[in-house]
Amino acid sequence: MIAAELYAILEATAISLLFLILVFVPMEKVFPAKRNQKFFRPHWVLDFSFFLGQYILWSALVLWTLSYFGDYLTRIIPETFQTKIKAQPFILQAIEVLVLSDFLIYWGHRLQHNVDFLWRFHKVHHSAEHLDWLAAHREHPLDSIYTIGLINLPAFIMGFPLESIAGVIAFRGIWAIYIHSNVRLPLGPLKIFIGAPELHHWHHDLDRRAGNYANISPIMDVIFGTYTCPDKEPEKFGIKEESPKTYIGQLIEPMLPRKIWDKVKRKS
Amino acid sequence: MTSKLVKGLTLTLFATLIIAFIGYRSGWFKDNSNPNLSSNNDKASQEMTDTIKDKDSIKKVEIMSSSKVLILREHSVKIEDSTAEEMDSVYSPEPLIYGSKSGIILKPEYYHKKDIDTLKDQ
Repeated sequence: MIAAELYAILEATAISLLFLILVFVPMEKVFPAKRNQKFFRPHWVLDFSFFLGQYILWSALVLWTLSYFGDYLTRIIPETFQTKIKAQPFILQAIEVLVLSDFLIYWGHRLQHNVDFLWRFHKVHHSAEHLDWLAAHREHPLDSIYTIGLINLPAFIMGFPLESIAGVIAFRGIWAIYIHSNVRLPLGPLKIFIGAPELHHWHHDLDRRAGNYANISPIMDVIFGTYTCPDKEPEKFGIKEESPKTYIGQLIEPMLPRKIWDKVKRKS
Repeated sequence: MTSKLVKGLTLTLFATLIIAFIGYRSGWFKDNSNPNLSSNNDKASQEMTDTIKDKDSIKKVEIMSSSKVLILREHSVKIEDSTAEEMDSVYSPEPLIYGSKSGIILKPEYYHKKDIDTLKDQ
């Protein structure tokens, strides 16, 4: 039973990896943002560890946590409120869920960059010095719970059936990887409505408060004055602070007080 | 000329795969018909499976992405329910939205196996 489950997870992970390579690597080769960046660039193994960790270990934990949290929230919200929400036309409900999600994640993300406690976890994602489709997967599992919890909160509260917009969700998911890819392909006037690597790369600039906090659509950045889109690539990605170069180190460091982490580092 | 052709083909491949992925997650490619179910007994088993779908121990989950991880495979969580534990099939209730960084693409074969087990037990 466990062996069958493990086999299914490994099989799905392998097929997903091949699919992502097929989607993004040709784009990175033909429309590169950093021309000299190779497929196996520095810290590729670290990012690949995050990829495997996401698929094999953490995604189940994150989904389990959020599923229970979502069920609990949906239960405690007054039924009269949800009935009123559900009485609206479906398309209006869908728009409300997506706009509120974008609003929440914008401010939630901005807080991650401004509140030190949240930054401890979020900086794991920003510690990537080379951006590509694989680096998108570098994320601390607790950061995932925070981010995915926030973005799903409106749907939990409204009791909105997300399976009815599965296509939109799928698009958002894959586009989120695309904006991290090593691609420069300006979208022209569309870039105000839909995020692009040229915008998100600036979010990964060394400056922790560089802007572009919005999720998929940059509209929230435009509204709240954090939109930035210079016509060139940032010189360097990453963070100014020192960060562990191992997978285990990246997972543990944010959870330990600095003094204890320093002792652990000295001993190792 | 060659460069334009390569760029065009690359963009076409990219767009096609993204559309295919969206279609896959939207259920466009799901085949609900089962040519192996021909006898009345098989149909009865199928109906019974459908009836107990709502009382199951496996819950498929879909969530909205934030901005880092996209897990492309469908995932499930076990629900603690004594009735559900006695009944072994697949249940698909409320999904979730993903974060903007990870996602899951595929539905593991495991769930199909559970469906078959259910029919065997009837």
